[in-house]
Amino acid sequence: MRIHCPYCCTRGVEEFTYRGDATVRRPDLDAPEAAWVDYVYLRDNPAGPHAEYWYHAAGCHSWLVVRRDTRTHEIFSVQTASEVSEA
Amino acid sequence: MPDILSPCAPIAAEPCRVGALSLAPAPLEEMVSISSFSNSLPALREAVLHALGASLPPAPGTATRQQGLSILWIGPNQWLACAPQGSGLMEKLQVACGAHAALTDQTDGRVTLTLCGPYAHAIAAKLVPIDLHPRCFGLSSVALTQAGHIPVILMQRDRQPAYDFIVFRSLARSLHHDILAAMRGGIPESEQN
Ligand SMILES: [Zn+2]
Repeated sequence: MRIHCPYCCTRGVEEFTYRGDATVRRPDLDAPEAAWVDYVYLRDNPAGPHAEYWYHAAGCHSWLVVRRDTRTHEIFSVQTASEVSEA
Repeated sequence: MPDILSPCAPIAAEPCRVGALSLAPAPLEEMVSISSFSNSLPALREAVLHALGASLPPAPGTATRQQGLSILWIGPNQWLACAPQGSGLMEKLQVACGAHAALTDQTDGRVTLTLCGPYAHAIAAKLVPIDLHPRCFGLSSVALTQAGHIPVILMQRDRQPAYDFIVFRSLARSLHHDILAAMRGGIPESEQN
């Protein structure tokens, strides 16, 4: 798999570290325990398109949001995490 | 009283030669990393130009170089300025840019190894996983990547070709060993034309 870093262009996956599901959101502080258990421990395991955090550890050290098909490794988009959070 | 450690070079200064290829540590330079504070970029660009007479490189993966001074892109809103010893680089930057960026002296933390000679790109390509063809990586191009498992900042110093590998000082010996092994392994026939 190769990931197109917005800063470094296309690089091999060995330069990146997977940093988890990019769809989970921290619950409110007073949210019920079940919401926190879900946030901390439970993850979907989708077969298909998924948004994930990847860290360009051996490159520019950017956090990226990669939308990718988990069955085929086809990558639909890569954005910096800051760009996604500002949107 | 504790003994004061005296500085010593991580590797011998003499160039290692294999055929027409040569590998040598570059002369020690003053190095300062510049990390822009948020919303400070326009002011920082102006301040660097004012302090050093050179601009921050406009695009990722590039460097500005003039008269011994180089400024390399080393990440989003981050640069590495390098100047000959005795330039007072940190003082100049601190006065001009201290309010716009975090400045960190990297002088003792990094070593630059220069690989040069015919087919140097073919030797470098044994170690780094990026395309070094001139259409992708030309003069003053910069890449943050790894050489084997060693993190490096790679810059094409000269069209000769010559490449600078900027590496953490503690990994300089290992990288020197790896590049030398790649040189001794010869130029792959597929790369010769
Ligand atoms: Zn990158």
